[in-house]
Amino acid sequence: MTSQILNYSDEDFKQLANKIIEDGSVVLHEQNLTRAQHVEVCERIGECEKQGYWMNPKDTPEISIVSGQVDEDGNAIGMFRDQELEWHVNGAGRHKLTEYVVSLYCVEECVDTVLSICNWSHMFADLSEEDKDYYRSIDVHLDGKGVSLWPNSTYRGREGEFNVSNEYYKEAIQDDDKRPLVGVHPIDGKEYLYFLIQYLKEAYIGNKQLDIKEFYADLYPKVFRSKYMKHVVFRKGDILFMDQVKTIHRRSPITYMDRMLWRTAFDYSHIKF
Amino acid sequence: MTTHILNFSDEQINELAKEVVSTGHVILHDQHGLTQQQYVEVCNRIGNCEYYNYFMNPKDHPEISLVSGQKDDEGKAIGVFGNTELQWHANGTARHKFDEICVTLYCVVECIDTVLSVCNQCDAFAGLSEADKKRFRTIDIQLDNKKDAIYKNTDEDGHDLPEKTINTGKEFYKEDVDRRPLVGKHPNDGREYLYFMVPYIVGAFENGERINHEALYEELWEKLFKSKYMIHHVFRVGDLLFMDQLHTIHRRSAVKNLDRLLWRCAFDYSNIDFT
Repeated sequence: MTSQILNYSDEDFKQLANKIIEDGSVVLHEQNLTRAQHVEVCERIGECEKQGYWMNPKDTPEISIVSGQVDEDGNAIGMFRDQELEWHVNGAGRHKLTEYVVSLYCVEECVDTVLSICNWSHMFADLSEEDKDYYRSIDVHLDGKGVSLWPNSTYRGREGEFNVSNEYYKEAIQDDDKRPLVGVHPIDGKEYLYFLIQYLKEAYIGNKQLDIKEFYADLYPKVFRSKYMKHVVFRKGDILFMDQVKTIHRRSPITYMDRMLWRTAFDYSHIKF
Repeated sequence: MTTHILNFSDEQINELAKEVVSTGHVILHDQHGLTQQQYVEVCNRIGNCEYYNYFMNPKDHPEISLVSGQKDDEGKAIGVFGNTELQWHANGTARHKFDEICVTLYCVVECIDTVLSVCNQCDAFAGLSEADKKRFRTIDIQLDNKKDAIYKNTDEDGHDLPEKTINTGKEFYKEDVDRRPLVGKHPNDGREYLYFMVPYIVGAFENGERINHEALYEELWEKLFKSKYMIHHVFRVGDLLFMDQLHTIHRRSAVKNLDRLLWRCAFDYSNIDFT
């Protein structure tokens, strides 16, 4: 009998959170959760982000429905719909965020759809000391303008699918704001290389701007290597936790449109590390 | 720095094979640049490779089968399996006895939307109740490839295979039995596994008496195909996967990039010291 996360002790949750951070992701199988219980479980770890979009159930606004289903008018009932999703993370395009964890709980499965997770903390750890120092010297500017999560499709999301503006997130950042390419995880202090493709529009060493095409050509093959990846095909009852600072993820297209996941994003504030 | 399999010592090859048996599969990354000749040599360090003379076997390396969605100028598949979803299966299709219990797949051209799922039927058996274990040990199954059921979830009729297709059947394989135990014992580690060869089961016998194999099928499906017994892999160029064909069973989602190309070999463990 698989342990049910609903029965986890505080110590179990602490171990789970540590494993999410250490490995970048954790999958638990054969879980049996209602939406309220899914939120309850996540809040044992931290504070959940709440949104008021059409994909957030009114009674559990912490949850976003992720699905390929459409309603009678042809509108997506969940975020992301059925297309391939480009590599991305929660908080994409933001220079600061606190919801470091995303959970996905499978309600309806599609056995042909794969979520690939790439660990850019493990990738950074493998670099030579010379390369590490070089990348530590780089700052990047993120911008969501023109970004599409659907790289091989004309689909651009249901109207009003996302608020991505600086004002919305109260970041008060300016067009020339930057963040380090190499970050330090706030909990375990390990470094990670935040190569957030598409959103990463500019790169600098001091005041010198780097050629962005060369920058991408250098990093892409170093980051997206098979050995840093894990792959998940969601089955009913699977719950995945991913650290959004340590990892980036993509999804193949959905072939079974009823596939449905519940998604939450939250911080680690309820864990005493 | 990933160690290249070409540089493996005999001891490392031995340890690799033991790990394949013990965990059901092993993936090595960044094995770039293997030639077909080197690939066969690597496999032959573990055991004797099966070889054929089908359309998907390179003439100078008949141990290799091309696995691809590509088609030639006449619209015929250049490799085995085409581009459609593949039902759960293992090497030794519909055979009651076979020696080539290790399969490798080496990625030459990738499709990042195609996933290979591997289910460990040894772990699944270990996870059964004692009552189920006892009952399943009394069951024999009968296998047959005549329904071509590996493609049963698609509307495609024959994956556009050239004229000379794949030989199957007990005459070709010179089989002297018509059934095998549902629960097998691995010849190398002695652990029991549940041999639920999904597309090929055409009959079942409990204590020698024929039973409704369709009911057995439904029961086994529920008990075997659990997420906790599965791993999933998306091949990237240079990945080399080893799978034990008794301890595991695998399926594949449809191929989107039709240029995807894997090289496949099947072989025994005859060069490995398991003592």
